[in-house]
Amino acid sequence: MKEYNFFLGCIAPNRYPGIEASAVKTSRKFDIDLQDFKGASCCPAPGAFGSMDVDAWIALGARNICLSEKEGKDIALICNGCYKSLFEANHRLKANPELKEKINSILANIDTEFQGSIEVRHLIDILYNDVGTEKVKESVEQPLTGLNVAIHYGCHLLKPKFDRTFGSSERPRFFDELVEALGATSVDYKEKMMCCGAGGGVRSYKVDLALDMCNEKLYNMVQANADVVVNVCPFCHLQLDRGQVEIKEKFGDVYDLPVLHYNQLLGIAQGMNPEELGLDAHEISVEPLLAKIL
Amino acid sequence: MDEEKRIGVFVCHCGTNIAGVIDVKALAEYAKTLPNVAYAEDYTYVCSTPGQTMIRDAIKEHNLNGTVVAACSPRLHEPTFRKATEEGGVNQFLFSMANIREQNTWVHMEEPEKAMQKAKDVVRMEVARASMLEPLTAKTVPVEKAALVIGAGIAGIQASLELADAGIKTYLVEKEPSIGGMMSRLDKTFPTLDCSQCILTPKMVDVERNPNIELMTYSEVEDVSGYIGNFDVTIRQKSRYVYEDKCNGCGKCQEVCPVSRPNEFDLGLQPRKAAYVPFPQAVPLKFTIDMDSCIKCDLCKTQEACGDLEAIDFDKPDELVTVKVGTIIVATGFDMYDVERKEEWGYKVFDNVVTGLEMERLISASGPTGGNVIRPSDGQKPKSVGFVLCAGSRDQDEEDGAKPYCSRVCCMYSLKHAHQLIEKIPGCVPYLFYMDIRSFGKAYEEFYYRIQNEGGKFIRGRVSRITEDPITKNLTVTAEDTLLGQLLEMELDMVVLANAVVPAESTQKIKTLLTLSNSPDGFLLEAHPKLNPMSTTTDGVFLAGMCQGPRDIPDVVSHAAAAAAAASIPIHRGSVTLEPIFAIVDQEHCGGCATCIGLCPYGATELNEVDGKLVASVNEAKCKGCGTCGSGCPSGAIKMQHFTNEQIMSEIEAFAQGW
Amino acid sequence: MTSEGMRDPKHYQLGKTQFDPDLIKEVEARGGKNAQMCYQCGTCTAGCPMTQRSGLRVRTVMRKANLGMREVLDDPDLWLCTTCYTCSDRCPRRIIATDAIIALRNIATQEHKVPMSMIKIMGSIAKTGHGVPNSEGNMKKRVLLGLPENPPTTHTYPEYIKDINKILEVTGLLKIKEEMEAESQ
Ligand code: SF4
Ligand code: SF4
Repeated sequence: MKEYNFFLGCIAPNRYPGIEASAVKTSRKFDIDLQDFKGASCCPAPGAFGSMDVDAWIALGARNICLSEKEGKDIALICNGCYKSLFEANHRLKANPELKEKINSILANIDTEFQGSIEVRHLIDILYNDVGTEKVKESVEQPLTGLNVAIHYGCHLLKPKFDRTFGSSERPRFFDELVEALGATSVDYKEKMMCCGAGGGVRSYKVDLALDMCNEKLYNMVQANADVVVNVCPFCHLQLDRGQVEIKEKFGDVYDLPVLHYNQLLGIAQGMNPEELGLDAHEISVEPLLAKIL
Repeated sequence: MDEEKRIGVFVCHCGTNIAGVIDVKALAEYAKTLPNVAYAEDYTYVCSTPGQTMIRDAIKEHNLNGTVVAACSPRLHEPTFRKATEEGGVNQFLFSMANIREQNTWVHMEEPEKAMQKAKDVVRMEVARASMLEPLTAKTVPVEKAALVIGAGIAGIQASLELADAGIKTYLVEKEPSIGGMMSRLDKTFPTLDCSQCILTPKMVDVERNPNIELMTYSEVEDVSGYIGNFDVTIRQKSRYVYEDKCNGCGKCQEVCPVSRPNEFDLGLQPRKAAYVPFPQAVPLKFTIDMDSCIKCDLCKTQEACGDLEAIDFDKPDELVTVKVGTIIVATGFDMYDVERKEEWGYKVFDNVVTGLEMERLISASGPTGGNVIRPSDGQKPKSVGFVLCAGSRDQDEEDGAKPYCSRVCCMYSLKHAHQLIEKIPGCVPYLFYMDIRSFGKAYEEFYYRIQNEGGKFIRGRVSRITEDPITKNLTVTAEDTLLGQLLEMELDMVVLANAVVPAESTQKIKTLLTLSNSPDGFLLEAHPKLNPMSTTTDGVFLAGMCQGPRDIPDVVSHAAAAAAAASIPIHRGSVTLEPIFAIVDQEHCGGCATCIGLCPYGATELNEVDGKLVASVNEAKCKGCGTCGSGCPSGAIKMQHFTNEQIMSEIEAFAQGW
Repeated sequence: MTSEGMRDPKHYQLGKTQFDPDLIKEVEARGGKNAQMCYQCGTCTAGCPMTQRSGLRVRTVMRKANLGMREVLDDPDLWLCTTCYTCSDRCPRRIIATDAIIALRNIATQEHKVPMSMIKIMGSIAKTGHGVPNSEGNMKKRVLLGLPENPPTTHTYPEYIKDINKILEVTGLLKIKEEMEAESQ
């Protein structure tokens, strides 16, 4: 059993607890134990916080990392925003002694010191690189044959590419492979790698523009006959799910396209019931989707 | 060293280069206080004729037996001052140079006091060294009256013809089955629009006919040993499985051969057989059988095909040939940047995105479409074609393998493509996405003017991304017109990526064999970027063409001619003088441990039996005087002439005395 | 302007342009790697998903930052970047334009030019440790899923919140927040 401190962030535990629950449950099947991470906070939100002060953003991220360093556990997380904050803070602090010194002088005020002793991993990275698509495939009890999935990678998982480990940010494949391992079909759609529009503080600053971007994505997904959008980021998830309600109110466009975090899709494929994955709590009903596969 | 040492020190002002930072007069005065210094003087330009005369006269007048010049880098004027010393009647190796410019006043101009201190240190050290120097005699060795040219593109062809016409026996080695290189793939050449083949093939034929050129195609240099004047080169002549002397080029083997595979010459746009010549004008017109794809059906050997000529032999082995040459020219050319790595442009993903070289083949009358430019997706004539300039050039993205330099040909060949499209397809509009149009050559800017006049459209903006309509296969190009500040999303029929030129993969092996280096751009390093761009730091080895850096055809030809001229000088002289700065093995003390054999980066050390004992020796001509063997020898039996332990220690001691 | 007025030398405004050459240095120091190397190719603007729907023009921002036109700090469009990093991944000069924009936002924050929406998120983190805190409705959802009402974060362990505030304090952000809140009243 590989143990991780499970870094929750904000949106998953406080808006879409189904994502949190499904991550824990599906991971167990692969002998991955996502444990309670006591005292963790917001990562903090890279767009909003980084925009105000990069050093404060890194220091607050480092505070979270240091809590886990004390327990000697690597961090696993399920949100691209948290990934940006914690992976980059960890990576930059390890690589840059000057920055480390600067941030540690901030952390000294709370009797904390960044060591650089642990790793920060996105669960999708663990699933693809440690578990592997073969094992994921073996865990499937309910193949998702015939399901058209529009994959949304999310920007901060892959970019900036020099500061990531996934390679291509123009035509990545690993997420597609993980979806295909469940028996589903990954449909290609226009502007697949486009941003959902939520990041950078734009969703709170100018929600109309953030939604306009999301609208374009949703339109392209529906054009490609997608049955569902699958993501690996609760903030993209919120933008795509809750966003549809807002788009309907503001622009009158209706898609009714169900939105799932990969952990939830994996949960369905592993035979879990929709309630234990929190699917009933989504803004856009997942019923048509469930009807298609179950 | 019994004679009393009388050193003369000459401090140069170098205008204000040195004198503007430190007090040169005070430095000369300081020199006078040093042990063994019999005379010291400063002068505005010691390298000038009066400056040299000053050295000569001072030697005689003050009966000097050693000289030190405190001035620039020895790379520039060491030969000048050595000569002046020799002319004064003192052995030239009793001269030593103190660099107080490049390593001092140029870099420490903000700190003149410390610069002065450093200048004193260096002068003191060189005086100490000069007191320990020993007279040496330069050696001369004869030069073989033959040259080797590696690579038979336009650079290698030009260099070989020049050498051969100067009466020098020239071995021209080419790894492909035919000579001609990249230029033979081009259709027309900018800005004159003369057909590439038409101007190249006469030269190719000349190569074949020239009695002084021994052409070795389908051959690779396998090993090089020796030194300037005396290189021994081993060449592998790969088996064509066809006897060149028996093959008459009739091509019947090709007609009957049932195997089909993509022709590399045409970038795979057209098929060839397993028995093939890469293109019709190939020189030599000898067929080659590609054993990797041959199915040994023997059809080519039948009476209907090769028959009684009996030119084909599937068991013909490779042959190793050894030649002796005095000088070598490297002309190994370039490769094209693998633009597939710029994923945002979709090369190899979208049918109608092609590279510049592919466009060249599509335009070429001898190409796969007979010169009809068509869209690969549907064979239709494109009515709108985008050109992405600087595709992989002027780009710092190392992860994509892109290159920071300007490739120097893409602007111009794209202009030429634009012209040809307008000419061949009525109504076709070329759109050139550029950042700067670099039309710097003779008649190039005029060519740019001409294409603009013909209707080429120029958009100042780099393409961010290309997408494809899955049904029509039309491409949408997204760029900003930076002059308008406006986003463009243009639907085009076809896009040409004007990809960068990059150092050739195959040059690597030659680089190692000849102990050459490369500049940061990956191309081979020249001896001096401005004043000696055709020589290398390996004596007797010269560079021609793109292997040294991107350049267009006129520049390649000039460079090749310059390399040929440089390579012919030692041959015409008949002998070369070798610096006596080499290692000497004291065979009494050598224990024959062979440590030095493994250490020498130039393969100059060897182990021989002398009087029943294994001892090392150093090949004076191969030795570069790097001193690696000397520092590694456990018995201290190796002495570096001109850089002996005593000489170096004297410098260190002199340095320490100042502190 | 009348043709009379046009002849008035006052209207020619010669020599009025002023640049601050230190601005770009500050951008680089705050993480806008290589920002000074921009050669204005427009790859960033063309790839940016905001270009077609807003006034944000990355290349223009880079231009202004490079010349030292401090007015760029007052540009409301500076806050429209979603930090998708598309521009950065494609930049041939390897400029991380997104980080340059973030650096400009940091500088603007120092000058109290940050939108209040950002300050609000800071306030929420200062108070709860979460930018998006838990809610009544969500607690019920959690319980239904077999999860505790509150996650094991600062929500369950509020004693950690003081450390967060300490960091906000020593980095000067709390002060900016307080001052801006006072200004907006
Ligand atoms: S892509 Fe890079 S170099 Fe080009 S304009 Fe944008 S920031 Fe400047
Ligand atoms: S990171 Fe910002 S500026 Fe760059 S492309 Fe994305 S939204 Fe545009």
